[in-house]
Amino acid sequence: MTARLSLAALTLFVLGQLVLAQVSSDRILNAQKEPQNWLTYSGTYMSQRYSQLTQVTPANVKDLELKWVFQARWLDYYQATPLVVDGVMYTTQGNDVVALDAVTGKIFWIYPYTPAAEAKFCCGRITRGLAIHGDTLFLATVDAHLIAIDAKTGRPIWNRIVASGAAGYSLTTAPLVVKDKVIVGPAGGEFGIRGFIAAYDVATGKEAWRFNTVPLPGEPGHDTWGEGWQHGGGSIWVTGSYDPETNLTFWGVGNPGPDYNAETRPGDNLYSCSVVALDADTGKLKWHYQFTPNDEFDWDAVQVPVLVDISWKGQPRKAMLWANRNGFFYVLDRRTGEFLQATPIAKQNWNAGFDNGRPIRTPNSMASRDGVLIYPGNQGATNWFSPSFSPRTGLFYVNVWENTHHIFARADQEYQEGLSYTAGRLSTNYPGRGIAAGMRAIQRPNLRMEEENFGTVRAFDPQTGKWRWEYKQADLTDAGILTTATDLLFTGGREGYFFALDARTGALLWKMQLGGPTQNGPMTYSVNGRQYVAVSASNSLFVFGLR
Amino acid sequence: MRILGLVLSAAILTSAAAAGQTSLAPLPPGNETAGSAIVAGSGKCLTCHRIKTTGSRFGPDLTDIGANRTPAQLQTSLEDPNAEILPENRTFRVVTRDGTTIVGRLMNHDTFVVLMRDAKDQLRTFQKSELREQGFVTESPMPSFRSTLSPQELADVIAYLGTLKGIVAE
Repeated sequence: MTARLSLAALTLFVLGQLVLAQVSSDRILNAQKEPQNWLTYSGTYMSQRYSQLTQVTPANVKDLELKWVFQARWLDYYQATPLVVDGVMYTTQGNDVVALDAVTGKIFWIYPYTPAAEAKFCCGRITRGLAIHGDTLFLATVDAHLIAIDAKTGRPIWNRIVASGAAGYSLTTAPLVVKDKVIVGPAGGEFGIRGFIAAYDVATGKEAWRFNTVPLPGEPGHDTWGEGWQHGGGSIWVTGSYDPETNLTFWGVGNPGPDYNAETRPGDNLYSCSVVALDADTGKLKWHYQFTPNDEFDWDAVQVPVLVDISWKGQPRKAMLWANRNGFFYVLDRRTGEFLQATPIAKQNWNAGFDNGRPIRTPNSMASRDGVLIYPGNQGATNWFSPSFSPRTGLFYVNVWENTHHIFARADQEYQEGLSYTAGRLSTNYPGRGIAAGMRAIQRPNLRMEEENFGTVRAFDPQTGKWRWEYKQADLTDAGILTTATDLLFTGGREGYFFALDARTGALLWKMQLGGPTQNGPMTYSVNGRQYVAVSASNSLFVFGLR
Repeated sequence: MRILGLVLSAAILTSAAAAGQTSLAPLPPGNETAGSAIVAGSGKCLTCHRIKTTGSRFGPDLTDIGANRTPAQLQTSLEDPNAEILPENRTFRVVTRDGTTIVGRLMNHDTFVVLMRDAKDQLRTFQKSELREQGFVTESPMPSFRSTLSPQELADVIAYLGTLKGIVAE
């Protein structure tokens, strides 16, 4: 009898532990209520990258010290934002998944994944992170697989081929879990893919719905393409957001293909360079807003939609904030997609204003065979790295690339599966080739002058669209931003510094040289009452805590 | 940062298009041997430039200049040193709090520090917050040779520089 009772008690205890460990849909929905954890790519569904942890303050941030380092066995850049669930960190090294003790950095398990050799990808063998639901992690791979992994053991549960890696489809996003579905979309616009956003059942991997970012014949928006729709791009590069009130999930869609020549795709090229609002249960389009119709400058809409509840002209507003690669900071109504405001975030010469939200092009700002000088350049005035919004300050923080340009020239190119398909040439007015604001100009000595481009943190007031303060760096930055409830802002850049600013003033409070460019979004978590701040530099993850 | 301007310390151009910015008079055929003598002698080129192990490190190293620049680019640079400068040839000037001025080659800089090779070939780091002034130098240290060398001498120098292809494995 005693033995039976003990067994029953043990069974209940084990079951209880399992239930506690589950990351339910409700937990993700209410992630802001457990700031000790980081349950989804952008922290919460609002994607503000704002933490309510308060142990690290402007007064003691100078006492941060390195607690541990995870050196990924991977030579490409580390762009993933880790997840932390109840003291366990889940992150990646390349396309491997790693579970670590969040206090010590010691490894529990590694799920190794080697992408198929025939896979093609334009912009690095990058993954930006994981999603979790229940005890299942979700990994999107650069050869376009979506894999469910047991969070306790690192063993695969299912492996879904989302698209053809050999044809240039790749998955670089951290997936987004909404209720019982995991949502992803492929990158690969530079290879003439035809993009989509798709949801898969978390338990089985079966596709639940698909939204074509380049509409097929018969679908709304198809008539905005001409014949170019077949290889029209429309990539998904970064994770979307979710609004439970409207059950809408929001995703940014990449550039149309070929990147630099619209002759084969006359029209607006919906839904490239747009944000789309989809019903999370069905994938049906509720609304869209296109930032750059008929883009020929590779500007994408490659940002995380930041959802905010603000006062707008004296009235409460469910808004979306978006600093776009095309050089503008947008305020949209996230229930309807209504355009509320757009203001420049950096030097630009293509836009003469807006007509009911539609950009008005300046004269002579269309690409041509001879080339046209456009600000910002093809990497934009900002890029994929996440901004942050602090409800305390009411400010939207984004890393900006100022003074970038390219000379865009159309060229002829026939599509060939699996090969780069951009149909254009880029050049600059800079002396030499090392100053161009490109993705590859990283980890070299910086010899640039300020007028040639620089990176800067800018703190925008959504009410005015203007920045209140900025913190300039001599080099560019690919770092995301984290803000906290103690009005700290953490970010970094290509110079290798990880630093903390006063989120109200932009004053530098602390910095640490990490020896390589910061490329992910800093995040923070807490275990046993101690707050940690994690950030990557080059291919390693650095975790800090107070002395 | 206060920007003081551009320098073309070796008058190295980046492209044929850039070379076309300056009107070039046609030159006679050059003599490499005569050019070598001018570079090492009357032209005083090695006062600032270096070829293999000879000369100064102040200006750009010319050891492989013939592999990287066309004759037209070299002529433009010799006649109009301020036409254009490559970032790696930029000269930087700092003034420390005690008033000491240091001019040298910019090696790297970031938000907080500037790294230079000074006129004594010392690799030095300066905290920007501790500098009274800092910025790029306005004028090229290299004079124009348009009037100080004859067309034949210019052609000779260009012919010689064209033979400098770098360190070749033996």
